[in-house]
Amino acid sequence: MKIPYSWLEEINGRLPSPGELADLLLSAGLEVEETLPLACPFSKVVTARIIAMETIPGDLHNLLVRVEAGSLGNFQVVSGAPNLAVGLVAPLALPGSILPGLVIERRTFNGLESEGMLCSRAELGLEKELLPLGEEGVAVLPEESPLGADLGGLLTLPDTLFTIKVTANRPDWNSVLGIAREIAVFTGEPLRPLLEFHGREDPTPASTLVAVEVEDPLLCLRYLATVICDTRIQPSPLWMAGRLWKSGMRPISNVVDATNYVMLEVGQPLHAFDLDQVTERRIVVRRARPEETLVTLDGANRTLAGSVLLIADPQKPLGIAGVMGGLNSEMTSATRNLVLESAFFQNASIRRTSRLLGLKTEASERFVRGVSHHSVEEGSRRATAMLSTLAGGRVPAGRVDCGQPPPPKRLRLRPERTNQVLATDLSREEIYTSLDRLGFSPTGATVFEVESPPWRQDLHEEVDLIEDIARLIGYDRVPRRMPAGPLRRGQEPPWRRKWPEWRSFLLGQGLTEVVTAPLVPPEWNTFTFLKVDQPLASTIDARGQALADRPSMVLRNPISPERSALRLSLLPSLLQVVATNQHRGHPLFGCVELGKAYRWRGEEELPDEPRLLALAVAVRTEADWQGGIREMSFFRLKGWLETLFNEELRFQTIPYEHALHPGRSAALFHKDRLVGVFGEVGPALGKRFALKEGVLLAEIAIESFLAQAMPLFQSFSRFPAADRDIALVVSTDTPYSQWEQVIREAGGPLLEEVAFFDRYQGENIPPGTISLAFSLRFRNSERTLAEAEINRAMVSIECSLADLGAVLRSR
Amino acid sequence: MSKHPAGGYLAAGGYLAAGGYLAAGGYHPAGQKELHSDWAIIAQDQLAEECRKTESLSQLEELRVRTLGKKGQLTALLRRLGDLPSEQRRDAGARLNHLKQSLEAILAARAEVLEEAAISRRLLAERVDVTLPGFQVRVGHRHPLCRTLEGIEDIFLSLGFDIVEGPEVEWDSNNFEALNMPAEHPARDMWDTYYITERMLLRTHTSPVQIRTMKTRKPPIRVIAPGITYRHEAIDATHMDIFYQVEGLVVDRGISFANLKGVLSLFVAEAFGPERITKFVPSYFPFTEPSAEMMVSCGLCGGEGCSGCGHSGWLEIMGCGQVHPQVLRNCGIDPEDFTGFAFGMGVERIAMLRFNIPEIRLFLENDSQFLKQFP
Ligand SMILES: [Zn+2]
Repeated sequence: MKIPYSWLEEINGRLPSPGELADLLLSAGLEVEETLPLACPFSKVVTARIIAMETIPGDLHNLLVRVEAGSLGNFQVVSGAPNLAVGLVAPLALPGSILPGLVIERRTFNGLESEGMLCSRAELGLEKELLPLGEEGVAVLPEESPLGADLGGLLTLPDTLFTIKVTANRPDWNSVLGIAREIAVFTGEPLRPLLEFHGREDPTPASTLVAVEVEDPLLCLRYLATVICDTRIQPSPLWMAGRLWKSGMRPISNVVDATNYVMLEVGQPLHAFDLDQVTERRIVVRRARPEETLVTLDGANRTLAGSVLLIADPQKPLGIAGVMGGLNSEMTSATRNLVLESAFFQNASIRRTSRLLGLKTEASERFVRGVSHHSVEEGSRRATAMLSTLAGGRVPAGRVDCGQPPPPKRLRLRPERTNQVLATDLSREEIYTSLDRLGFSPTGATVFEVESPPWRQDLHEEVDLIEDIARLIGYDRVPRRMPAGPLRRGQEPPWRRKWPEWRSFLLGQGLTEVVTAPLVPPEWNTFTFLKVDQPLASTIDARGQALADRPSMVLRNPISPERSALRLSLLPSLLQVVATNQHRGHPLFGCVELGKAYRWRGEEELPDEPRLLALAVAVRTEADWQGGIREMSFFRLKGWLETLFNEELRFQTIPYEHALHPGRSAALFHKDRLVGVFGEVGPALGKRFALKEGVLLAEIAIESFLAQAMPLFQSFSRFPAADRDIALVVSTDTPYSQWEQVIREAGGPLLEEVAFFDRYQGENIPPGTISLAFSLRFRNSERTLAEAEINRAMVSIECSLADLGAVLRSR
Repeated sequence: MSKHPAGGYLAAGGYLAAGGYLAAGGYHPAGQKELHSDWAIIAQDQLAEECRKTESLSQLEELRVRTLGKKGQLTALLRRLGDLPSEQRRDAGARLNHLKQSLEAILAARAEVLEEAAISRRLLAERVDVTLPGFQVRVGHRHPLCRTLEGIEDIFLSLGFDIVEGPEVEWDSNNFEALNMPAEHPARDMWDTYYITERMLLRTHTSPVQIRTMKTRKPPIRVIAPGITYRHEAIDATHMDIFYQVEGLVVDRGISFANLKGVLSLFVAEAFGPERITKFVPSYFPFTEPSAEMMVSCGLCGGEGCSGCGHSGWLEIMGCGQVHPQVLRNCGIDPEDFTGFAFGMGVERIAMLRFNIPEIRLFLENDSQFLKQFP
């Protein structure tokens, strides 16, 4: 909230400088977000009333105007303003006055002396809200303004404006009085009495003029109604307009301004409405009936639900309790008699209504945070008196009061518990003094009994008092100490230990780590990637078709469609990163993310949040300046995956339609569980993201690879190995893996390693076939290999291969 | 210089040919003339001269073959020793062998010189322009957010905090109710919330992990809970609807507000440097009391006040406080027996302060121009 320093000064008396006050407020728990000096844009400008005007011979544009300026005397000025009239009160800039961009001097027009200037609002450099009248010419000031008074002084300029952040637990701080009270607790200086207003009393009892009936006392804990008769709606005095304007409220008219002023002052939202529009002058506080409608002050026709609390008369709703009044009872210039409502509505009810209607107002926000019986009474009393004073009305005696304030809340405070929680050694006396300064009226011998001040709604248990004592003595009084406990390093989840290893490998290959948003456009969840980390059966049905995805989660209240669904895969997010960088002209080679996907499991269960490792890398061939070639391809990526997860990984063609290239993608299995997918981006997806180069993708559920087995030594042979090459011509229909398996099985225990080193198709090889070349390494663990042993193994391999239709090419 | 330098000093111009003590002027056939020791010196000098003229190891080898090889001149002389009378043979043999050793030494010395020269020539030929660029190794970058997060985690791990996790999609009850915010509690407005269903939401803070931890672990508890959190909030330079937090929770007997100040001040010293000081000011969170905001002295101005810290000299780093007794009770822990403290910090904010990053949006945008600045 915004609070002018000058207003606090009026209540607190002597105050530290604005900067020091901001520090004091911070240590009290009130964060001053901004300290804004408000300059006075002019000097030597006073209020003056026009007492006479005469034309100037030969001058059709200007008039000679005589004004009176109180004790300063009378002046004559030459003015050409179109709105001049006898009786009008306007700002007069005296000779020597400095306005924005203008210095006023005694001047002579056609032989007539002009002793200053009548100013427009713009010439004074003031906001329109502050001086709303007389836009067409000289600013029109309220008639009651004292004459000859310094205009800057009336507006209390210069000033300093604080913007203070009030925490949700202290609604009483949402007022000038509340802040002033807190300052007094900390400075120890007593508050000055508030500016008192004395309205014209009328012996007629208010209860004869208005009746109030509260149907739902749980939602409306208190309803205070007062009546002001024969009011005259007009602009507010300058000092009040100035305060409202500085506090961020637009001055409107004396009646509206008075309720706003008192709301700022004591924190109580007030609602004034036209008593003559209330049927039978009877106010009913009740819940809305189904389908009931009301046109609110903002002109909206609102359909209400049964949970909404209404202010009504026997015939119609007059307003939504605590949120906004109805247009039908709005005060107009014709309003003579008005009723002033000061109420205590249950905060949960107002919060529900405000959210239901999507309508937040200054009043609703305050009711949500909470008012007190104290603020209800103070608000009613002060606003009624102020209205009567400013709007010239009569105040019928008494008030209509529904609801009873509860007895003050009593709490206990143990001094030793206080010292335990804060690790301090405060004496009983110091604790007593603190409680006393906080207004808790402590009593008791060993344990203090305290009484919650009427404006405090936030005190529930002992710790609330301990916090207040800590605030008052200052958090700096609490020492810094390490907790006792065993010395050990904390434990971390297995993935966090593993991830840095995997990441350094991938960063070493040139990939960059990225972090993308889990909220994505719902469209991204329609791309058919394999949903990894699922038992095979749950993702693919008997015909090899992907089962329909479980519904992806969509937010009920997204801020934009682009961030409205929780992702099912990280891959679209990574493609977006690749695409964005490509389009900005600085393509990434590749990126990797360890993140989560989110899978709906129904309303009764929280979704599954598997942690996935995903990467995207450009298909690219690059040469260095000496002609060396480096290629990023499907098989290089496969090599990375094999290196990273060097366990029993199985790669399998994906048997159904998929967002990846159908001929260059594979599902990854680990122990019959589908754990990953990888391959090249298919054409449709490439087009969707407007990719300028091929991209390889991989997504792997890491859960299966986190087991941390301690490596155990295994003995190895020191006898020499022997290498033999073998090349075979086979049909292109048989997968490579079959041939490697045959060789391994037929090679027997001496075959130590099978290295695939060539794949050739073309000249000398019949069409439909392909030549595969392997280098085989043999070793005997117990002795040096004999030539005959190797030959036997080779014959066995060759026979097995030949049996399956392979033609041996050479040795 | 001729290919066969001087035609061999032993053969033609040598002391043996001219006044050779064996062949001509010697004991044979006239045989009376004394074998003069000067001859050996002359032979050595001549060989040395020949050596100097050789320019390659192959020329030197030729010279060696002509002199000391199987058909070399000195070898021939040695063979002819047998022709001498036995009384002269011993003396002449000794002289010749001595001469042979001297000649070998001269050849070896020259060989060494020539070898060195050959190596030098090769190295010169192999010389490269060291200013040519090396082959570029493409190395990726760590994301600054991950780097910051892991840095924070490591500090707390070393202080004995376990890392625990909780789901990002949470129940309203864990995100609000158990944290002392029943339905329609005004403090709920401090967290604008994304909802999935009436009861299911995207957690607005990592604090529900406090609840999950206290319900599954018995004190002493010392954990941090890092992770993604969400706010239903318009995005601008300093606000993001998705961001990372690190939550901390300590529950044990006798945990005081002083322990909170101690641990968090130590954290700041580790994370920002020992010269940075901390200040705790009152704040409000429904699930802690007393609640505080921890501030760290501005690193740019050293606390003097600058535009980076809003001229206050201080930066807000995290909210913290003593665990509210009601929260302990909600988790089945007796607040008279156990007390605790909790804290929560925004990782983006710390990364922005650390790396001087002006906009929070940059983190999730992943522009390579941004990422490559952080090795
Ligand atoms: Zn600074």
